[in-house]
Amino acid sequence: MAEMKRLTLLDAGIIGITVIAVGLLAFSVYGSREGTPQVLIEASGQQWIYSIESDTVVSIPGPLGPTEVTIHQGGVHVSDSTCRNKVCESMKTISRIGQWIICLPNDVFIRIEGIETGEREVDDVAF
Amino acid sequence: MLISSRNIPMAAGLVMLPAVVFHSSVGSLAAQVIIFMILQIIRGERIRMLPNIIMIVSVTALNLLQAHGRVLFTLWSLPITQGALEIGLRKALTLIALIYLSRFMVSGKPRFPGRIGMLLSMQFSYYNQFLQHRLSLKPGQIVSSLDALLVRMETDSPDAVEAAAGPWKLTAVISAAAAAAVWGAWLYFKETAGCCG
Amino acid sequence: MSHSDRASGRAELRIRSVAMLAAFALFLSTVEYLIPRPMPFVRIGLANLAVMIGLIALNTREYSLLVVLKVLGQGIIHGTLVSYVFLFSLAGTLSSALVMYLLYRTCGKRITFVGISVAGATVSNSSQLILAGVLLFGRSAWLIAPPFLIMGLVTSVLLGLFAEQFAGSSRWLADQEAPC
Repeated sequence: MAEMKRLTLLDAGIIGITVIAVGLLAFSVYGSREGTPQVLIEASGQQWIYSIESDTVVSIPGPLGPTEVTIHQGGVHVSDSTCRNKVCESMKTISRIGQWIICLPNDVFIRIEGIETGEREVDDVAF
Repeated sequence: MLISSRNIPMAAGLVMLPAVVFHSSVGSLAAQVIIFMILQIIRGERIRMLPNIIMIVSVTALNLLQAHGRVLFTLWSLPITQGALEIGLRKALTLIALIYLSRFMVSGKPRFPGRIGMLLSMQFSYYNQFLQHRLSLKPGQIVSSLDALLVRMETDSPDAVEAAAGPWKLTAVISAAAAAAVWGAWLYFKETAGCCG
Repeated sequence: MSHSDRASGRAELRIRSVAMLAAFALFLSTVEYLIPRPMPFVRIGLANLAVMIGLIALNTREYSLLVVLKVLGQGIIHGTLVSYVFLFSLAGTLSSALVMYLLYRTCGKRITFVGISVAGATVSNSSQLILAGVLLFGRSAWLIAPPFLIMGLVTSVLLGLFAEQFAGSSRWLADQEAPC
């Protein structure tokens, strides 16, 4: 017959630490509703969404031609634009929730949002 | 020993590997998965689709949670984005393609050189014994029946099972054709694949 | 002469034990493979049982050999040698084997296989989650992390109890010479 040893203090400690760690993890994963900031781009009635942390270069079509938006190291700026005055290219890199860049001639609107943008209608563009 | 016919699929697989993992598009991955499935059918093995479907659905669904790219439509307030869809599909298909590829690679029952190779073949012959004796593990008394099985196996002395290798010309032709097809798919879908990762 | 003969015979026997335990690990992972799973990445880690038995029966060198054979053998038998799955198995097995070895060797009587098993499973699952995040799921890997880890906790407690019972009653283990 096998003689079962009792669990030791160390056993209980390991199990306890694991339970607490998983609990904390679950709380931080499911508890907070705010995700990482997202870059929301609206142009010609369409919408693009990127994480602010995704290093990527996006080409957004507009009436005058493509607008190139660069997301790099948590910041967003327009790196190339086909519009004439190039105002948006000269605008500073944005990185915080609520900041925006607009490229009026080419109808491109870029802003940073904090929470899921799901409820937003695709066509509630203000311009 | 390394060039024995058993190792041909292994070598061909290593040739095909970069075409699967190196900048492969969704289109080329899908084509490659089909090629690998055909290889498996040629070997006379069954294809189980359900695990593949579960894999594609679960990996894609989880990747969709991180929006990336143009919003295609909105599903229960979750924006379904083109980029996330492509990333998810690509990851799932890469995994499936790699699993089929490695099945193909070991289909020749490759021999590995050296001490580890000797140990591996010993391990596999014991493994076969476990599979044959699995019914003697009774649910109620797993510990004692497992123990008895270990004792019994140690007193038998198995030698490495020699599985007959297939006809090597056929294996070589199939392997070469597969490698050509897989790289062809990679090339064909390389340019036509739409942008953006 | 006869002395060295006996020594090499004993070495041969011990190598057989390593191969048998490695085969047992393979068998257990095949059994696990046959059990239907809700998600492709939820694992029970049955094969860890063979590694825990190896802790008792084998010395450090043989134990490392067992770990290598387990990973390689699973890659070959389940045909995952070049896939991500192999990386998962490699990361999970190496990290948990190391942690279990350290706990078993340093804690002695202060720990049972339940604690060893739980620590091994948690470390293994965590490293697999990190890999899953990098290779497959992106950030969403965190979403599956809590249920994944809880499942691992429950199954590893059961496996630990099983290993404890096996260690206490096995005739096979008693026949093995104490590891040096």
